[in-house]
Amino acid sequence: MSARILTMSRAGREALDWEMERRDDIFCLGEDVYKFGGIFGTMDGFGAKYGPERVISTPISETGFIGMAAGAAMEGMHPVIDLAYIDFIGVCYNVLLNTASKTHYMSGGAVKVPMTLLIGTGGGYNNAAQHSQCLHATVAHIPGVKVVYPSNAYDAKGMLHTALRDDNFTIFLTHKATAGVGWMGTPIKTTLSEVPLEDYTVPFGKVKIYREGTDVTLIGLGMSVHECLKAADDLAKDGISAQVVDLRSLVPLDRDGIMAAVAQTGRLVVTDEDYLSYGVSGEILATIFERDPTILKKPPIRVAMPDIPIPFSRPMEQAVLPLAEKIAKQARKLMA
Amino acid sequence: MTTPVIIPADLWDEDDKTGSIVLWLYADGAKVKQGDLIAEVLVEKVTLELEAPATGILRIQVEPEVVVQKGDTVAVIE
Repeated sequence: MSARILTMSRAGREALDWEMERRDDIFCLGEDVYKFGGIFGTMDGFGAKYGPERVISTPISETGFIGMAAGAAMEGMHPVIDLAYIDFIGVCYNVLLNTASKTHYMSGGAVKVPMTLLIGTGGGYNNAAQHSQCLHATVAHIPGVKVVYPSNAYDAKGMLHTALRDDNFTIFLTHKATAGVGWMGTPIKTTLSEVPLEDYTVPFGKVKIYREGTDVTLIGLGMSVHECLKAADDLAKDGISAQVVDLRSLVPLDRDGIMAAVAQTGRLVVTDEDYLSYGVSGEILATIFERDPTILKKPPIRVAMPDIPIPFSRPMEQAVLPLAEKIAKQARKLMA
Repeated sequence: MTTPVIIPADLWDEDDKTGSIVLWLYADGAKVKQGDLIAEVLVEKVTLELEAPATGILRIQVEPEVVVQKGDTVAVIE
């Protein structure tokens, strides 16, 4: 049979289903997961298949149920939590910051906390300042947690298998616009992949070179990878060869991979839908300046969300998002 | 021999509602097997599944985002 083309949402569901069929330590919890199957349908149909003991719909009480999950993980279970949107981490941040992430270290390695937290990020569809944020830097800043951010279906399945087999806490981010769920619009073609039926893992901490190029490097993560790919198509019309790098994983961060990629072109545009200041885009530049700034031919440019609440109004939101035309414009400046 | 891929009359409840293909899970010209999930169909905010009615080569006739109704032929399987 031909290879199937899956959305990120379906690919993730397949990984979780495969692991749940074979392991009884995994259980799911979150708001409406039993009937609704999670914000991107990662647990779609799991209520009927696995029953209410393994697919637990919770009240709107993130501190309570994520704290409960951390406790269950310490006792040997592997909870998989659907937290819907990352804008809601404020109400459970203590569990992430102090409990799930620190217990392994503070117990001298005696207590493991194997749990996977699924969170949707990002905007672009007029959902206003409290439902459009990326905030990935806010979780990547916490020592003791792995943070991964696949941007296509193949990586989503492989990285979710990796997270579910990890002995400790992983935050698994998916940008809403990349998930490929129908109510968010027609899936973006570059998020869809041929996905093997069998299980496989994609290791954390390796960048992916989405597109080879020799003139300028465009670094993205989550949705901004796809904007970089669009920008690269546009730049090609002017004969500019753009390399597109997907970070894929924030913790661990593939600093060697970033250096190797940027060294190939010497020109860099870093894109990030998270806020500009104190974030991933600055971390990438700091890595280059600490390791070897001589690989750069020009000062690098960041295209990121300005440090303002994200506007509801469509024209205003479009104006602040790191979209392809802005990325291409900055890349052209570097080529001038 | 070809088998049409038709939007089933019982895929969703209300007859007056229309839907659209979200995506084809196989490329045009791919081999599919009877019972394979081949497309997602969106009706309002609900995503429904379309299965292959036969085994063979998928020939897509209706692309995503085009309005479809119950009974429409959206592909054939050769």
